[in-house]
Amino acid sequence: MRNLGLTVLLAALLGGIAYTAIFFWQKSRIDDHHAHLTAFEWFCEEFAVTGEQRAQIEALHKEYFPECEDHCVHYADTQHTLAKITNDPHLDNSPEHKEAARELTQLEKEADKKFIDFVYRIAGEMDTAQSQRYLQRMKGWLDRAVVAN
Amino acid sequence: MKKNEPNDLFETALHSLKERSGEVDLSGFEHHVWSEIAIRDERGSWLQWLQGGRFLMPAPATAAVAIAAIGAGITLGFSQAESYGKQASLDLEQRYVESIHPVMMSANHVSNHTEH
Repeated sequence: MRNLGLTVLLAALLGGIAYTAIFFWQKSRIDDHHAHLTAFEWFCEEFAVTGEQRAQIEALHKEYFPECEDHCVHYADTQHTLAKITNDPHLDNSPEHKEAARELTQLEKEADKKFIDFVYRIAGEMDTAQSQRYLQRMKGWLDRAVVAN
Repeated sequence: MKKNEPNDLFETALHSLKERSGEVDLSGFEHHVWSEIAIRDERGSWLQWLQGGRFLMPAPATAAVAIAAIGAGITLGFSQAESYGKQASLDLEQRYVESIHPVMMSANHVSNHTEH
């Protein structure tokens, strides 16, 4: 026979130990797995991309990366210019201000278009089920970006 | 002049008890029983609840409660680790998207420069 209070205390202690042991064991396994994973490796793992398919998709990524980075630099420069104009009271609502704002919006639209074109090219190399899932996930990010802007 | 002259009520009472200790004549057994009672009275109420409560459980029920608690701990541990894994995967997904979307890539560069 055991006292109820002691039993409850013991059970809580055992439950707590079991929870801590399992959580930290799993967390360490996840951290080890993700520590050296690149974004592209994550993509291959998540969408079961292997073998020749992986080589083709990697080539598309490598081909697209310089174009994407150029656009990124152009966008960052325009954003910087617009911020400088915005901070200058003499240039507020000036033609330069309007032009910089228009250019930034144009670059955002082009970025979305480049992104959509690219993900469709990637999806074209994937299996049907995985490509649908990939497009769905990428669309989610685009929707979030639109809401944020 | 005496050493340790009592200077407050507590000291006076203690001194008086010590002087009367010879008058109390308890047998060894009675002395032991009264000592146990005194010790038990000084224990905290929570400890009393733990050690001498009215609700007693049979050993199989105790074992079942312990096993259920361990099971719940394991389930909760796996469930929380799964949420952690999903979040870690989402962070990698974000890194992937930032590597292929020019505006998100730019935002990532800006935040990295701001952090450093």
